[in-house]
Amino acid sequence: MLDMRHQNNRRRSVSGRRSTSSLYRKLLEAFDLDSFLVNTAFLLKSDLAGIDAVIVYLYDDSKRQLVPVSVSGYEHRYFCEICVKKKAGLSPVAQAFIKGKVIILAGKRAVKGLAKCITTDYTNNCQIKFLLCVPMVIRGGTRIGCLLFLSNVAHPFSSRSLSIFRKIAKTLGPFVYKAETLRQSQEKKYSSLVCTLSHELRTPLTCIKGYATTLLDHNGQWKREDSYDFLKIINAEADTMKKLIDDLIDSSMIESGLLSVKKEPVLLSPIVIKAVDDARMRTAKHKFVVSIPKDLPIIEADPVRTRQVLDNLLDNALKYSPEGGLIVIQCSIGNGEVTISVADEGVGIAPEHLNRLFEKFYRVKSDLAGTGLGLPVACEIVEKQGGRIWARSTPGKGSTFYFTLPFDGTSLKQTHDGWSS
Amino acid sequence: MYTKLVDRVADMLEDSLRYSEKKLGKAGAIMELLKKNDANAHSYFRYWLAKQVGIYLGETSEHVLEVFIYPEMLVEEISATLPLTLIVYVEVYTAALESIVDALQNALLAEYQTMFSPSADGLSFILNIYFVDKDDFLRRKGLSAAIGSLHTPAIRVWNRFSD
Repeated sequence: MLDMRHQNNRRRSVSGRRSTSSLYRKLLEAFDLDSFLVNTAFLLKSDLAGIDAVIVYLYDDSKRQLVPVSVSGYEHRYFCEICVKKKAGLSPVAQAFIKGKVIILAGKRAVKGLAKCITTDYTNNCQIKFLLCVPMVIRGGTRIGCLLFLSNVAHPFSSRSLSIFRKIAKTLGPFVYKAETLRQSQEKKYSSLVCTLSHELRTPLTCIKGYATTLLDHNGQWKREDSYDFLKIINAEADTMKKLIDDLIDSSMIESGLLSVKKEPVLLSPIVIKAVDDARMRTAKHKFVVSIPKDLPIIEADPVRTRQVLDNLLDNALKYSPEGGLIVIQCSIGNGEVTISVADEGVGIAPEHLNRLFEKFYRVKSDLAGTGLGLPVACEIVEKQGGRIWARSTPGKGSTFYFTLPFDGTSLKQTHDGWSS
Repeated sequence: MYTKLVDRVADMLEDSLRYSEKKLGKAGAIMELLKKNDANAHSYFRYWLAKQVGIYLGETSEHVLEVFIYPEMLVEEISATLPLTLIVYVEVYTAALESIVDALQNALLAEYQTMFSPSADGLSFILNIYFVDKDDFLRRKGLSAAIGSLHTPAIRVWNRFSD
Protein backbone atom coordinates (compact mmCIF):
# COMPACT_ATOMS: atom_id res chain seq x y z
CA MET A 1 0.00 0.00 0.00
CA LEU A 2 1.49 3.24 -1.06
CA ASP A 3 0.03 5.46 1.61
CA MET A 4 0.81 9.04 0.67
CA ARG A 5 2.14 10.04 4.05
CA HIS A 6 4.40 7.04 4.32
CA GLN A 7 5.46 7.59 0.76
CA ASN A 8 6.41 11.14 1.68
CA ASN A 9 8.65 9.89 4.43
CA ARG A 10 10.24 7.34 2.19
CA ARG A 11 11.15 9.80 -0.48
CA ARG A 12 14.50 11.33 0.03
CA SER A 13 14.37 14.95 0.89
CA VAL A 14 17.17 17.43 0.55
CA SER A 15 16.93 20.89 1.90
CA GLY A 16 19.77 22.28 -0.11
CA ARG A 17 23.34 23.14 0.37
CA ARG A 18 23.57 23.64 4.08
CA SER A 19 25.14 20.34 4.96
CA THR A 20 28.50 20.24 6.60
CA SER A 21 30.07 18.42 3.69
CA SER A 22 29.03 21.07 1.21
CA LEU A 23 30.32 23.82 3.49
CA TYR A 24 33.61 21.99 3.73
CA ARG A 25 33.65 21.67 -0.04
CA LYS A 26 33.03 25.39 -0.39
CA LEU A 27 35.88 26.16 1.98
CA LEU A 28 38.17 23.95 -0.04
CA GLU A 29 37.02 25.59 -3.26
CA ALA A 30 37.90 29.00 -1.88
CA PHE A 31 41.22 27.65 -0.70
CA ASP A 32 44.32 28.47 -2.77
CA LEU A 33 46.53 25.40 -2.53
CA ASP A 34 49.53 26.93 -4.31
CA SER A 35 49.91 29.91 -2.01
CA PHE A 36 49.16 27.68 0.98
CA LEU A 37 52.04 25.38 0.08
CA VAL A 38 54.41 28.33 -0.48
CA ASN A 39 53.43 29.78 2.89
CA THR A 40 53.72 26.40 4.57
CA ALA A 41 57.29 25.85 3.37
CA PHE A 42 58.21 29.36 4.44
CA LEU A 43 56.57 29.06 7.88
CA LEU A 44 58.13 25.68 8.55
CA LYS A 45 61.56 27.02 7.63
CA SER A 46 61.10 30.06 9.87
CA ASP A 47 59.58 28.25 12.85
CA LEU A 48 61.66 25.10 13.02
CA ALA A 49 64.95 25.84 14.75
CA GLY A 50 68.00 24.61 12.83
CA ILE A 51 66.14 24.06 9.57
CA ASP A 52 67.52 26.12 6.68
CA ALA A 53 65.38 24.87 3.82
CA VAL A 54 62.02 23.14 3.35
CA ILE A 55 60.87 21.57 0.13
CA VAL A 56 57.34 20.19 -0.39
CA TYR A 57 57.00 17.42 -2.97
CA LEU A 58 53.67 16.16 -4.33
CA TYR A 59 53.35 12.89 -6.18
CA ASP A 60 52.21 13.06 -9.81
CA ASP A 61 50.63 9.71 -10.50
CA SER A 62 50.52 10.12 -14.28
CA LYS A 63 54.28 10.69 -14.55
CA ARG A 64 55.23 8.66 -11.49
CA GLN A 65 57.29 11.57 -10.26
CA LEU A 66 57.62 13.61 -7.11
CA VAL A 67 57.24 17.24 -8.09
CA PRO A 68 58.73 20.01 -5.92
CA VAL A 69 55.72 22.33 -5.52
CA SER A 70 57.12 24.65 -2.90
CA VAL A 71 60.69 25.51 -1.88
CA SER A 72 61.80 27.79 0.90
CA GLY A 73 65.44 28.49 1.69
CA TYR A 74 66.74 27.71 -1.79
CA GLU A 75 65.81 28.70 -5.27
CA HIS A 76 62.98 26.63 -6.64
CA ARG A 77 64.57 26.19 -10.06
CA TYR A 78 67.41 24.02 -8.74
CA PHE A 79 65.05 21.32 -7.50
CA CYS A 80 64.01 18.86 -10.12
CA GLU A 81 61.28 16.24 -10.39
CA ILE A 82 62.23 12.93 -8.84
CA CYS A 83 61.39 9.64 -10.47
CA VAL A 84 60.05 7.04 -8.04
CA LYS A 85 60.55 3.91 -10.12
CA LYS A 86 62.30 1.29 -8.04
CA LYS A 87 65.93 1.14 -9.09
CA ALA A 88 69.37 1.45 -7.59
CA GLY A 89 70.70 4.88 -6.64
CA LEU A 90 67.35 6.38 -5.77
CA SER A 91 67.30 9.82 -4.15
CA PRO A 92 66.48 9.87 -0.40
CA VAL A 93 63.19 11.62 -1.23
CA ALA A 94 62.15 8.78 -3.52
CA GLN A 95 63.28 6.20 -0.97
CA ALA A 96 61.27 7.83 1.81
CA PHE A 97 58.25 7.96 -0.49
CA ILE A 98 58.50 4.34 -1.65
CA LYS A 99 59.20 2.90 1.79
CA GLY A 100 56.86 5.26 3.63
CA LYS A 101 59.59 5.82 6.21
CA VAL A 102 61.54 8.80 7.49
CA ILE A 103 65.03 9.08 6.07
CA ILE A 104 67.81 10.97 7.83
CA LEU A 105 71.20 11.60 6.29
CA ALA A 106 74.05 13.59 7.80
CA GLY A 107 77.47 14.83 6.67
CA LYS A 108 78.72 13.70 3.29
CA ARG A 109 75.78 11.30 2.87
CA ALA A 110 73.45 14.25 3.13
CA VAL A 111 75.34 16.12 0.39
CA LYS A 112 75.31 12.98 -1.77
CA GLY A 113 71.61 12.48 -1.13
CA LEU A 114 70.76 16.07 -1.97
CA ALA A 115 72.80 15.84 -5.17
CA LYS A 116 70.18 13.40 -6.44
CA CYS A 117 67.42 15.94 -5.84
CA ILE A 118 68.90 19.06 -7.42
CA THR A 119 70.43 20.09 -10.71
CA THR A 120 74.17 19.42 -11.06
CA ASP A 121 75.27 23.02 -11.44
CA TYR A 122 73.98 23.83 -7.96
CA THR A 123 75.48 20.92 -6.02
CA ASN A 124 78.81 22.63 -5.35
CA ASN A 125 77.15 25.70 -3.78
CA CYS A 126 75.31 23.68 -1.14
CA GLN A 127 76.47 23.79 2.44
CA ILE A 128 74.16 20.97 3.51
CA LYS A 129 75.15 18.86 6.49
CA PHE A 130 71.82 17.32 7.39
CA LEU A 131 68.88 16.01 5.40
CA LEU A 132 65.55 14.77 6.71
CA CYS A 133 62.84 13.38 4.45
CA VAL A 134 59.34 12.64 5.78
CA PRO A 135 56.67 11.03 3.58
CA MET A 136 53.14 12.45 3.64
CA VAL A 137 50.80 9.54 4.13
CA ILE A 138 47.02 9.65 4.26
CA ARG A 139 44.54 7.18 5.72
CA GLY A 140 44.81 3.78 4.12
CA GLY A 141 48.57 4.13 3.66
CA THR A 142 48.39 6.08 0.39
CA ARG A 143 51.46 8.29 0.02
CA ILE A 144 50.85 11.64 -1.60
CA GLY A 145 54.24 13.35 -1.34
CA CYS A 146 57.24 14.15 0.82
CA LEU A 147 58.60 16.93 2.98
CA LEU A 148 62.33 17.51 2.67
CA PHE A 149 64.07 19.42 5.45
CA LEU A 150 67.70 20.59 5.01
CA SER A 151 70.08 22.01 7.54
CA ASN A 152 73.57 23.52 7.43
CA VAL A 153 74.19 22.10 10.90
CA ALA A 154 75.25 18.47 11.29
CA HIS A 155 72.77 17.65 14.09
CA PRO A 156 70.16 20.40 14.20
CA PHE A 157 67.82 18.62 16.66
CA SER A 158 67.60 15.62 18.92
CA SER A 159 66.03 12.35 17.81
CA ARG A 160 63.10 13.07 20.14
CA SER A 161 62.13 16.07 18.01
CA LEU A 162 61.63 13.79 15.05
CA SER A 163 58.05 13.16 16.10
CA ILE A 164 57.30 16.83 15.42
CA PHE A 165 58.24 16.37 11.75
CA ARG A 166 56.12 13.24 11.55
CA LYS A 167 53.17 15.15 13.01
CA ILE A 168 53.64 17.98 10.54
CA ALA A 169 53.55 15.51 7.62
CA LYS A 170 50.58 13.68 9.15
CA THR A 171 48.58 16.91 9.53
CA LEU A 172 49.53 18.35 6.20
CA GLY A 173 49.05 15.19 4.13
CA PRO A 174 45.27 14.68 4.24
CA PHE A 175 44.51 18.36 3.83
CA VAL A 176 46.80 18.79 0.85
CA TYR A 177 45.40 15.60 -0.66
CA LYS A 178 41.80 16.80 -0.41
CA ALA A 179 42.62 20.24 -1.78
CA GLU A 180 44.67 18.76 -4.62
CA THR A 181 41.97 16.24 -5.51
CA LEU A 182 39.36 18.96 -5.56
CA ARG A 183 41.60 21.20 -7.66
CA GLN A 184 42.07 18.43 -10.18
CA SER A 185 38.34 17.78 -10.35
CA GLN A 186 37.70 21.51 -10.70
CA GLU A 187 40.16 21.72 -13.55
CA LYS A 188 38.46 18.77 -15.21
CA LYS A 189 35.07 20.34 -14.61
CA TYR A 190 36.12 23.69 -16.06
CA SER A 191 37.64 22.15 -19.15
CA SER A 192 34.52 20.07 -19.70
CA LEU A 193 32.47 23.23 -19.10
CA VAL A 194 34.30 25.06 -21.87
CA CYS A 195 33.58 22.09 -24.09
CA THR A 196 29.89 22.05 -23.06
CA LEU A 197 29.49 25.79 -23.50
CA SER A 198 31.03 25.72 -26.95
CA HIS A 199 28.67 22.92 -27.90
CA GLU A 200 25.63 24.60 -26.33
CA LEU A 201 26.34 27.85 -28.14
CA ARG A 202 27.26 26.26 -31.42
CA THR A 203 24.11 24.12 -31.71
CA PRO A 204 21.61 27.01 -31.87
CA LEU A 205 24.08 29.13 -33.80
CA THR A 206 24.39 26.46 -36.49
CA CYS A 207 20.63 26.32 -36.69
CA ILE A 208 20.30 30.11 -36.95
CA LYS A 209 23.00 30.26 -39.59
CA GLY A 210 21.38 27.41 -41.55
CA TYR A 211 17.92 28.95 -41.64
CA ALA A 212 19.22 32.48 -42.28
CA THR A 213 21.28 31.19 -45.23
CA THR A 214 18.25 29.29 -46.52
CA LEU A 215 16.13 32.43 -46.29
CA LEU A 216 18.72 34.37 -48.27
CA ASP A 217 18.83 31.71 -50.98
CA HIS A 218 16.74 32.21 -54.10
CA ASN A 219 17.05 35.97 -53.49
CA GLY A 220 14.67 35.65 -50.59
CA GLN A 221 11.84 34.44 -52.86
CA TRP A 222 10.24 32.11 -50.32
CA LYS A 223 6.58 31.56 -49.66
CA ARG A 224 5.34 33.76 -46.82
CA GLU A 225 4.43 30.72 -44.64
CA ASP A 226 7.83 29.11 -45.16
CA SER A 227 9.65 32.33 -44.32
CA TYR A 228 7.52 32.66 -41.21
CA ASP A 229 8.34 29.11 -40.08
CA PHE A 230 12.07 29.69 -40.63
CA LEU A 231 11.95 32.95 -38.71
CA LYS A 232 10.11 31.26 -35.88
CA ILE A 233 12.91 28.69 -35.60
CA ILE A 234 15.58 31.41 -35.73
CA ASN A 235 13.74 33.27 -33.02
CA ALA A 236 13.48 30.18 -30.77
CA GLU A 237 17.15 29.32 -31.22
CA ALA A 238 18.16 32.91 -30.49
CA ASP A 239 16.11 32.64 -27.27
CA THR A 240 18.02 29.50 -26.33
CA MET A 241 21.31 31.32 -26.83
CA LYS A 242 20.08 34.31 -24.88
CA LYS A 243 19.07 32.11 -21.96
CA LEU A 244 22.45 30.46 -21.92
CA ILE A 245 24.26 33.79 -21.94
CA ASP A 246 21.90 35.17 -19.26
CA ASP A 247 22.70 32.17 -17.06
CA LEU A 248 26.40 32.77 -17.54
CA ILE A 249 26.05 36.45 -16.68
CA ASP A 250 23.95 35.63 -13.61
CA SER A 251 26.47 33.05 -12.57
CA SER A 252 29.32 35.53 -12.73
CA MET A 253 27.16 38.08 -10.90
CA ILE A 254 26.63 35.55 -8.11
CA GLU A 255 30.38 34.98 -8.02
CA SER A 256 31.03 38.69 -7.61
CA GLY A 257 28.11 39.19 -5.22
CA LEU A 258 26.33 41.55 -7.63
CA LEU A 259 23.16 39.56 -8.26
CA SER A 260 20.38 41.68 -6.88
CA VAL A 261 16.65 41.29 -6.49
CA LYS A 262 14.19 44.17 -6.60
CA LYS A 263 11.32 43.36 -4.32
CA GLU A 264 7.91 44.86 -4.91
CA PRO A 265 4.32 43.84 -4.10
CA VAL A 266 3.57 40.92 -6.38
CA LEU A 267 0.62 38.63 -7.00
CA LEU A 268 2.06 35.28 -7.99
CA SER A 269 -0.94 33.87 -9.90
CA PRO A 270 -0.40 35.80 -13.16
CA ILE A 271 3.34 35.07 -13.05
CA VAL A 272 2.73 31.34 -12.60
CA ILE A 273 0.03 31.22 -15.27
CA LYS A 274 2.18 33.12 -17.79
CA ALA A 275 5.15 30.84 -17.10
CA VAL A 276 2.97 27.75 -17.63
CA ASP A 277 1.45 29.24 -20.79
CA ASP A 278 4.92 29.80 -22.21
CA ALA A 279 6.08 26.32 -21.21
CA ARG A 280 3.01 24.87 -22.90
CA MET A 281 4.09 26.46 -26.16
CA ARG A 282 7.33 24.49 -26.05
CA THR A 283 5.77 21.03 -25.82
CA ALA A 284 2.98 18.98 -27.27
CA LYS A 285 3.66 15.88 -25.20
CA HIS A 286 3.02 17.23 -21.71
CA LYS A 287 -0.15 17.87 -19.78
CA PHE A 288 -0.14 20.71 -17.24
CA VAL A 289 -2.16 21.10 -14.06
CA VAL A 290 -2.02 24.39 -12.18
CA SER A 291 -3.27 24.75 -8.65
CA ILE A 292 -3.32 28.24 -7.16
CA PRO A 293 -5.45 28.96 -4.09
CA LYS A 294 -7.97 31.73 -4.50
CA ASP A 295 -6.68 33.49 -1.41
CA LEU A 296 -3.05 33.62 -2.48
CA PRO A 297 -1.71 36.79 -0.89
CA ILE A 298 0.30 39.57 -2.45
CA ILE A 299 3.90 39.09 -1.42
CA GLU A 300 7.07 41.12 -1.57
CA ALA A 301 9.18 39.58 -4.33
CA ASP A 302 11.06 40.32 -7.52
CA PRO A 303 8.58 39.40 -10.30
CA VAL A 304 11.20 39.07 -13.04
CA ARG A 305 13.55 36.94 -11.00
CA THR A 306 10.73 34.81 -9.60
CA ARG A 307 9.56 34.15 -13.14
CA GLN A 308 13.14 33.19 -14.00
CA VAL A 309 13.11 30.57 -11.22
CA LEU A 310 9.78 29.19 -12.42
CA ASP A 311 10.97 29.06 -16.03
CA ASN A 312 14.03 27.17 -14.95
CA LEU A 313 12.05 24.59 -12.98
CA LEU A 314 9.55 24.17 -15.82
CA ASP A 315 12.39 23.80 -18.35
CA ASN A 316 13.93 21.08 -16.23
CA ALA A 317 10.58 19.31 -15.86
CA LEU A 318 10.20 19.29 -19.65
CA LYS A 319 13.80 18.29 -20.28
CA TYR A 320 13.83 15.41 -17.83
CA SER A 321 10.50 13.95 -18.93
CA PRO A 322 11.22 13.59 -22.65
CA GLU A 323 8.43 11.04 -23.08
CA GLY A 324 5.88 13.60 -21.90
CA GLY A 325 3.53 13.15 -18.97
CA LEU A 326 1.97 15.27 -16.33
CA ILE A 327 3.51 18.42 -14.87
CA VAL A 328 1.83 19.82 -11.77
CA ILE A 329 2.46 23.37 -10.63
CA GLN A 330 1.14 24.05 -7.19
CA CYS A 331 1.11 27.09 -4.92
CA SER A 332 0.26 26.81 -1.25
CA ILE A 333 0.31 29.08 1.76
CA GLY A 334 1.52 28.24 5.23
CA ASN A 335 3.99 29.13 7.97
CA GLY A 336 4.47 32.68 6.72
CA GLU A 337 5.52 31.67 3.26
CA VAL A 338 4.14 30.79 -0.12
CA THR A 339 5.42 27.48 -1.48
CA ILE A 340 5.55 26.86 -5.19
CA SER A 341 6.22 23.38 -6.46
CA VAL A 342 6.78 21.87 -9.89
CA ALA A 343 6.32 18.10 -10.09
CA ASP A 344 6.88 15.88 -13.10
CA GLU A 345 6.73 12.25 -14.14
CA GLY A 346 10.22 12.19 -15.58
CA VAL A 347 13.31 10.11 -15.07
CA GLY A 348 13.84 11.27 -11.49
CA ILE A 349 17.11 11.92 -9.71
CA ALA A 350 19.21 9.39 -7.85
CA PRO A 351 19.85 10.19 -4.17
CA GLU A 352 23.57 10.73 -4.72
CA HIS A 353 22.81 13.60 -7.09
CA LEU A 354 20.10 15.25 -5.01
CA ASN A 355 22.33 17.14 -2.61
CA ARG A 356 24.54 18.44 -5.40
CA LEU A 357 21.84 19.79 -7.70
CA PHE A 358 22.39 23.37 -6.64
CA GLU A 359 26.14 23.34 -7.13
CA LYS A 360 27.47 25.36 -10.03
CA PHE A 361 28.15 23.38 -13.20
CA TYR A 362 26.88 20.16 -11.62
CA ARG A 363 24.91 18.13 -14.14
CA VAL A 364 22.99 14.96 -13.48
CA LYS A 365 22.92 13.88 -17.11
CA SER A 366 25.72 15.15 -19.30
CA ASP A 367 24.03 13.95 -22.50
CA LEU A 368 21.18 16.44 -22.12
CA ALA A 369 21.50 20.09 -23.08
CA GLY A 370 22.39 22.45 -20.27
CA THR A 371 25.26 24.06 -18.45
CA GLY A 372 24.52 23.21 -14.84
CA LEU A 373 23.94 26.88 -14.08
CA GLY A 374 20.14 27.10 -14.02
CA LEU A 375 19.51 25.62 -10.58
CA PRO A 376 22.40 27.41 -8.81
CA VAL A 377 21.12 30.71 -10.22
CA ALA A 378 17.56 29.81 -9.16
CA CYS A 379 18.84 28.95 -5.70
CA GLU A 380 20.64 32.27 -5.35
CA ILE A 381 17.55 34.21 -6.49
CA VAL A 382 15.28 32.39 -4.03
CA GLU A 383 17.68 32.78 -1.12
CA LYS A 384 18.22 36.46 -1.91
CA GLN A 385 14.45 36.89 -1.48
CA GLY A 386 14.54 35.15 1.88
CA GLY A 387 13.16 31.86 0.60
CA ARG A 388 14.32 28.26 0.34
CA ILE A 389 14.63 25.82 -2.52
CA TRP A 390 14.84 22.03 -2.46
CA ALA A 391 14.02 18.91 -4.38
CA ARG A 392 12.54 15.47 -3.75
CA SER A 393 12.82 12.66 -6.18
CA THR A 394 12.66 8.95 -6.76
CA PRO A 395 14.40 7.55 -9.82
CA GLY A 396 11.87 6.47 -12.42
CA LYS A 397 8.99 8.22 -10.66
CA GLY A 398 9.73 11.87 -11.31
CA SER A 399 10.88 14.82 -9.27
CA THR A 400 9.31 17.68 -7.37
CA PHE A 401 11.11 20.99 -6.95
CA TYR A 402 9.91 23.38 -4.30
CA PHE A 403 10.74 26.96 -3.51
CA THR A 404 9.31 29.32 -0.97
CA LEU A 405 8.90 33.07 -0.78
CA PRO A 406 8.17 34.69 2.55
CA PHE A 407 5.22 36.89 3.35
CA ASP A 408 4.49 38.62 6.62
CA GLY A 409 0.91 37.37 6.94
CA THR A 410 -0.54 40.87 6.88
CA SER A 411 -0.26 41.18 3.13
CA LEU A 412 -3.27 41.96 1.02
CA LYS A 413 -5.34 38.97 0.05
CA GLN A 414 -7.04 38.51 -3.25
CA THR A 415 -10.69 37.67 -2.76
CA HIS A 416 -13.56 37.00 -5.09
CA ASP A 417 -14.83 40.51 -4.59
CA GLY A 418 -11.56 42.32 -4.93
CA TRP A 419 -8.77 43.04 -2.46
CA SER A 420 -8.99 42.95 1.28
CA SER A 421 -6.58 43.06 4.14
CA MET B 1 -4.83 23.39 -22.58
CA TYR B 2 -4.08 23.03 -18.94
CA THR B 3 -6.36 22.49 -15.99
CA LYS B 4 -6.82 25.10 -13.33
CA LEU B 5 -7.45 22.79 -10.44
CA VAL B 6 -9.21 25.24 -8.14
CA ASP B 7 -11.88 25.92 -10.76
CA ARG B 8 -12.24 22.22 -11.43
CA VAL B 9 -12.76 21.49 -7.73
CA ALA B 10 -15.42 24.19 -7.52
CA ASP B 11 -17.17 22.54 -10.47
CA MET B 12 -16.93 19.12 -8.80
CA LEU B 13 -18.61 20.43 -5.67
CA GLU B 14 -21.29 22.24 -7.62
CA ASP B 15 -21.91 19.11 -9.64
CA SER B 16 -22.17 17.00 -6.49
CA LEU B 17 -24.71 19.41 -4.98
CA ARG B 18 -26.83 19.27 -8.13
CA TYR B 19 -26.62 15.46 -8.21
CA SER B 20 -27.69 15.10 -4.58
CA GLU B 21 -30.51 17.58 -5.09
CA LYS B 22 -31.74 15.61 -8.05
CA LYS B 23 -31.53 12.29 -6.22
CA LEU B 24 -33.35 13.60 -3.17
CA GLY B 25 -35.84 15.52 -5.22
CA LYS B 26 -35.48 18.57 -2.99
CA ALA B 27 -34.47 21.49 -5.14
CA GLY B 28 -32.75 24.34 -3.30
CA ALA B 29 -32.66 22.57 0.06
CA ILE B 30 -29.50 20.53 -0.31
CA MET B 31 -27.10 22.83 1.57
CA GLU B 32 -29.49 23.00 4.49
CA LEU B 33 -29.74 19.19 4.61
CA LEU B 34 -25.98 18.79 4.44
CA LYS B 35 -25.44 21.27 7.24
CA LYS B 36 -27.97 19.32 9.33
CA ASN B 37 -25.86 16.20 8.66
CA ASP B 38 -28.67 14.46 6.82
CA ALA B 39 -27.30 10.97 6.11
CA ASN B 40 -28.95 10.58 2.71
CA ALA B 41 -27.86 13.99 1.49
CA HIS B 42 -24.29 13.32 2.59
CA SER B 43 -24.27 9.85 1.04
CA TYR B 44 -25.25 11.17 -2.38
CA PHE B 45 -23.05 14.22 -2.11
CA ARG B 46 -19.95 12.33 -1.00
CA TYR B 47 -20.45 9.52 -3.48
CA TRP B 48 -20.69 11.89 -6.40
CA LEU B 49 -17.77 14.01 -5.18
CA ALA B 50 -15.57 10.94 -4.73
CA LYS B 51 -16.55 9.81 -8.21
CA GLN B 52 -15.64 13.23 -9.62
CA VAL B 53 -12.27 13.16 -7.88
CA GLY B 54 -11.65 9.65 -9.20
CA ILE B 55 -12.58 10.61 -12.73
CA TYR B 56 -10.38 13.66 -12.53
CA LEU B 57 -7.37 11.63 -11.35
CA GLY B 58 -7.94 9.04 -14.05
CA GLU B 59 -8.33 11.58 -16.80
CA THR B 60 -5.35 13.60 -15.67
CA SER B 61 -2.68 10.97 -15.18
CA GLU B 62 -1.98 8.17 -17.61
CA HIS B 63 -0.58 6.14 -14.74
CA VAL B 64 -3.99 5.81 -13.07
CA LEU B 65 -5.68 2.59 -14.17
CA GLU B 66 -8.72 2.35 -11.89
CA VAL B 67 -10.30 4.31 -9.07
CA PHE B 68 -12.45 2.84 -6.28
CA ILE B 69 -14.37 4.23 -3.35
CA TYR B 70 -13.77 2.44 -0.11
CA PRO B 71 -17.21 1.07 0.86
CA GLU B 72 -17.18 1.92 4.55
CA MET B 73 -17.60 5.56 3.79
CA LEU B 74 -21.15 4.83 2.70
CA VAL B 75 -22.24 3.10 5.89
CA GLU B 76 -20.43 5.03 8.62
CA GLU B 77 -22.07 7.82 10.53
CA ILE B 78 -21.75 10.56 8.00
CA SER B 79 -20.95 14.21 8.50
CA ALA B 80 -19.28 16.93 6.47
CA THR B 81 -15.95 16.32 8.14
CA LEU B 82 -15.69 12.61 7.40
CA PRO B 83 -12.85 12.09 4.91
CA LEU B 84 -13.51 10.62 1.48
CA THR B 85 -11.55 7.39 1.07
CA LEU B 86 -10.43 6.46 -2.41
CA ILE B 87 -8.31 3.56 -3.60
CA VAL B 88 -6.38 4.46 -6.72
CA TYR B 89 -4.88 1.58 -8.68
CA VAL B 90 -1.81 2.89 -10.47
CA GLU B 91 0.80 1.60 -12.85
CA VAL B 92 3.40 3.69 -11.06
CA TYR B 93 3.09 6.29 -8.33
CA THR B 94 4.76 9.45 -9.64
CA ALA B 95 5.84 12.75 -8.12
CA ALA B 96 3.24 14.53 -10.25
CA LEU B 97 0.46 12.28 -8.91
CA GLU B 98 1.55 12.97 -5.36
CA SER B 99 1.51 16.68 -6.09
CA ILE B 100 -1.89 16.58 -7.72
CA VAL B 101 -3.42 14.77 -4.74
CA ASP B 102 -1.85 17.34 -2.46
CA ALA B 103 -3.31 20.12 -4.59
CA LEU B 104 -6.74 18.45 -4.63
CA GLN B 105 -6.60 18.11 -0.87
CA ASN B 106 -5.81 21.82 -0.42
CA ALA B 107 -8.39 22.99 -2.92
CA LEU B 108 -11.15 20.78 -1.47
CA LEU B 109 -10.31 21.78 2.08
CA ALA B 110 -10.56 25.46 1.21
CA GLU B 111 -13.98 24.93 -0.42
CA TYR B 112 -15.22 22.67 2.41
CA GLN B 113 -14.27 25.22 5.01
CA THR B 114 -16.30 27.82 3.19
CA MET B 115 -19.27 25.50 2.57
CA PHE B 116 -19.46 23.82 5.96
CA SER B 117 -18.24 26.51 8.33
CA PRO B 118 -18.04 26.35 11.32
CA SER B 119 -18.06 22.51 11.57
CA ALA B 120 -15.27 22.17 8.98
CA ASP B 121 -13.16 25.04 10.33
CA GLY B 122 -10.52 22.90 12.01
CA LEU B 123 -10.48 20.26 9.29
CA SER B 124 -6.94 19.30 8.25
CA PHE B 125 -7.72 16.78 5.53
CA ILE B 126 -10.73 15.62 3.59
CA LEU B 127 -9.21 13.23 1.06
CA ASN B 128 -7.85 9.88 2.10
CA ILE B 129 -6.27 8.55 -1.05
CA TYR B 130 -4.51 5.20 -1.08
CA PHE B 131 -2.37 4.37 -4.06
CA VAL B 132 -1.97 0.70 -4.81
CA ASP B 133 0.03 -0.91 -7.56
CA LYS B 134 -0.05 -4.34 -9.13
CA ASP B 135 2.30 -5.71 -6.53
CA ASP B 136 0.09 -4.50 -3.66
CA PHE B 137 -2.98 -5.85 -5.39
CA LEU B 138 -1.52 -9.31 -5.97
CA ARG B 139 -0.45 -9.52 -2.34
CA ARG B 140 -3.80 -8.06 -1.21
CA LYS B 141 -1.89 -5.58 0.84
CA GLY B 142 -3.82 -3.07 3.00
CA LEU B 143 -6.84 -1.46 1.36
CA SER B 144 -6.06 -3.13 -1.98
CA ALA B 145 -7.79 -6.17 -0.45
CA ALA B 146 -11.07 -4.30 -0.80
CA ILE B 147 -10.72 -4.43 -4.60
CA GLY B 148 -12.75 -7.49 -5.60
CA SER B 149 -13.51 -8.34 -1.96
CA LEU B 150 -16.69 -10.34 -1.36
CA HIS B 151 -17.26 -8.94 2.11
CA THR B 152 -16.62 -5.24 1.57
CA PRO B 153 -16.10 -4.69 -2.12
CA ALA B 154 -14.69 -1.35 -3.14
CA ILE B 155 -16.90 0.50 -5.60
CA ARG B 156 -15.27 1.17 -8.94
CA VAL B 157 -15.89 4.75 -10.07
CA TRP B 158 -13.50 4.95 -12.98
CA ASN B 159 -11.71 2.49 -15.23
CA ARG B 160 -9.22 3.32 -17.95
CA PHE B 161 -10.20 0.34 -20.06
CA SER B 162 -13.98 0.63 -19.81
CA ASP B 163 -15.93 1.14 -23.03
